Amino acid sequence: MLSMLIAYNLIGEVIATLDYMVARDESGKVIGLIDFAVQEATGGLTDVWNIGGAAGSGTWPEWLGSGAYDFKVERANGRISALVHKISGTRRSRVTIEAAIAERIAAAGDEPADIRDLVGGPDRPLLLDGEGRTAIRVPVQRPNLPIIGLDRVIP
Amino acid sequence: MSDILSPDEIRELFLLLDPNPMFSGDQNVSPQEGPIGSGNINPVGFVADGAISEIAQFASTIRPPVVVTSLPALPDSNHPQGSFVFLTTDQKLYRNTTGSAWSKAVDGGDIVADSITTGKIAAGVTVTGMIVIRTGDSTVIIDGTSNMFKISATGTLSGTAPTDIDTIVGTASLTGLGSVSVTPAHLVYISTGNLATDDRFMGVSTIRVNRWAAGSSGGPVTDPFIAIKVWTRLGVTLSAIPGTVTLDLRMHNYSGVSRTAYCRYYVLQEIGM
Repeated sequence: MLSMLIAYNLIGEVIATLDYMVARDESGKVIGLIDFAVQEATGGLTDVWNIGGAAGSGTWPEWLGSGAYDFKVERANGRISALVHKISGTRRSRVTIEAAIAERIAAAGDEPADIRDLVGGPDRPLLLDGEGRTAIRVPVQRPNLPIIGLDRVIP
Repeated sequence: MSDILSPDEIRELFLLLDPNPMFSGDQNVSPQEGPIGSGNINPVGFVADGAISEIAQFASTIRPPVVVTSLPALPDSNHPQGSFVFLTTDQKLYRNTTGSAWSKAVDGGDIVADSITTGKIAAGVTVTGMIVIRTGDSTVIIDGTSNMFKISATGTLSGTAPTDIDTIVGTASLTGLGSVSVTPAHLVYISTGNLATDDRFMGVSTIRVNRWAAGSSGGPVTDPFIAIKVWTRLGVTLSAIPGTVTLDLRMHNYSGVSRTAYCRYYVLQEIGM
């Protein structure tokens, strides 16, 4: 399963994230995305990235964008097991997230399961509130385009 | 007056008989056993089921499709230009368009405008000059006549710099991209906060202050000009040539307080289509 990478420092603070990275064959042709989870389980993640000042890195099943910097990591069994919000203490647990994903997949049966609201995505990170909880993303009602040439009275 | 009936008289005489007889053009006579009065021949009872097996039995202007398990070699007098065959192995209708070749092609001009709907073009289909890419609920059609830049990796970096320092506060070496011979292009935005509502600056972020100078030597110090107290940028370099793609988040902080910067980067690499 695709996942995000998180690098953390000695006290567990998030200092870098990696949403995805393409994989190439021997000729350099792009053949897909690197499966970070497989890399973590087999080869170690330094084959993917090295972050200056990092004490370690690991996969995370959600995409949080720069919202990840509000958390510290908890580790168990060699993996990041939870993210804990530095101010509110809100805990985002890997077990809970993966259980929700599995439940959604089971409910979908043979159909593709839509888990975007659970995990976000590389180009659509989850929106978090000030306490590190998933917030509802309000659909865009109109494009936020600059208005040019409109006859407006400037106060 | 002759006592011999003329052919026309013979024809009129036969038409008066019951059941209604008819002449064919070559003088062969076929009894009509169907409905009387219409003058048409009902082939039922005259032609056995399945008896017409040769295309040559049809007029040259009538070419019914022939069901085949393999395409007949052409040219073939049984399948002249304008003939049809239905090939059972692919369930498609073929036309002899030139007298020497079968064609199942469909002219794009015959497709009803705006009739190709969602899901009718498979992901990954390659069309001359175009590649259709579909991911999730989005479809992108890319002009394949030139190279394109592909986002090879995207991520975020952050770092904190104490005051009065010019230093690299964050470094990411993307070893997974392999050894690269050309420093890749990149897109980046930098922010002084990590909230969704924080301003994002393309490439470089600065915090500016006004300073004052004299407009002339010895004059009053009243002319404001802009000075930069904090300057942050993210650059992409190669560790060697060829080498590993490395991103450095650099801060030049003379604001008097510790500063933290955040950035998102997209590493772009040019590839052929």
